[in-house]
Amino acid sequence: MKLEGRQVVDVQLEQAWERIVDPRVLKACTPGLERLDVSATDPNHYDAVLEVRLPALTGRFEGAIDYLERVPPERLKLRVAGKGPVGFVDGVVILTLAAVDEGTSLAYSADVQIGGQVARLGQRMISGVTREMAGQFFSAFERWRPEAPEEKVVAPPVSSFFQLVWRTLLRLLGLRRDD
Amino acid sequence: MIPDQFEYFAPRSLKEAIELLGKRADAKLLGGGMSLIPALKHRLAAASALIDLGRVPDLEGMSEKRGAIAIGGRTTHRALAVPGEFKDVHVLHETAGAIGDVQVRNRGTIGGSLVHADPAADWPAAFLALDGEAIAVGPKGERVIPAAQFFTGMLASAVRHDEVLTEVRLKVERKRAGTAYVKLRQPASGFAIVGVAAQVTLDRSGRIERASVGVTGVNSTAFRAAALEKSLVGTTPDVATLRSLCKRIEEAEPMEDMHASAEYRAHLVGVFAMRALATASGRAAA
Repeated sequence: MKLEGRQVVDVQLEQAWERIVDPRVLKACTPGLERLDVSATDPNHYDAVLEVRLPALTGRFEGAIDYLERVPPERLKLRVAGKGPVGFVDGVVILTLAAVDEGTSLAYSADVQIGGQVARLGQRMISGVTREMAGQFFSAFERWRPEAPEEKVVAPPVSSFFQLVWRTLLRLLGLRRDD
Repeated sequence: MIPDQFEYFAPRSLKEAIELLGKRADAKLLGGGMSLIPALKHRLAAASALIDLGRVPDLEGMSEKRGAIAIGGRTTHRALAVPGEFKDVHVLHETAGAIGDVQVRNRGTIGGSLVHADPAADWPAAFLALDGEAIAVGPKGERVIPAAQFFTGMLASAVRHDEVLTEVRLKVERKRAGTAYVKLRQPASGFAIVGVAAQVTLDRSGRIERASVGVTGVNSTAFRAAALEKSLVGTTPDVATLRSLCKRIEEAEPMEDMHASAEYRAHLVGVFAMRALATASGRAAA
């Protein structure tokens, strides 16, 4: 199946490129990515363990990420393959970066084969799950800072406007630090 | 098709259920089990313990309290599908009657459906359109969650792990008002490819005074078509007007699956919104 999406992040194009090819960023920003090891012999090959965890569904995949093409600073092609107890995923993802007024536009387009239980029972959820995970990835990607590379960047929790105002107020008063 | 091992608890009071939840971080509440049990069997979900709400008293039934219909969280779809006491509130039995199949309706519950927050479940549309409220009871007591803040993401709701959804409240307009739920059903699963719930209140001259539209099956969470609702105010609800206003639903960011492309879903939302509004308006005028 084909999966597509696009998001604009407030990061300059060159910087966005540097981040997107940095395995530390990939590891810190991908929701549920438990392990990411760069191969000792091939810098374009990573071994990965991903746990998809929604409140009502979980799935664990072990597999690999291979960079097939790197065209700095605008195009990245990678193959993602993984399998686990609930099924398998195998696909090619093309990521296109472009400078826009607000920063950088990141567009992904993936052609993915999905099989097993997850495909049979979760098929109708896949595009929604992908979109949600991509959204979390991009917002973490935007806020990633090289000073704390190993720290997991978590997307901010959904909070009401009043909670936001309240927290900002506490922060301004020095009663609360960002966590 | 065989789930991983889990412990089974059948508490006899709400207090006991909440205490059990507090002790087990990965326990799950069991309502009708129509989503949870298949997910466990296919090992798409995992839980070390199931806490069955079946023996907890006072979680079932319907009553009217100050302009709202209060429905116990464990009330089955079947009980709500029968147009009894609230037969003038069409959206209630139309939604309940459109869910899954007869077995699912007999076992599945309104609270379970809402908390599970399946993007294609039927109840979320009506819950949003009727300005619903969910009552969640946890160790610190009771709190009210408005529908607008209830769905926090795909398969995620604002009900916390240590809380039980005990009651669902739906606000029903009774004067010059009507409701409806229409859906395109996926024939095998019964889930909504698109589902739209509407409540319309007319003024004395027959124009729309207030309309609310809840949509399910389209985005990764159910949503209110707020822009459409605004544009409907003051218009005469004839088919031509409704059709032109429903052409584009601004909030739709359709998902895609083997049954319907994003483009097809975007088209369907408009068609079903028009049908739901036309039916609700007709009932309001009657």
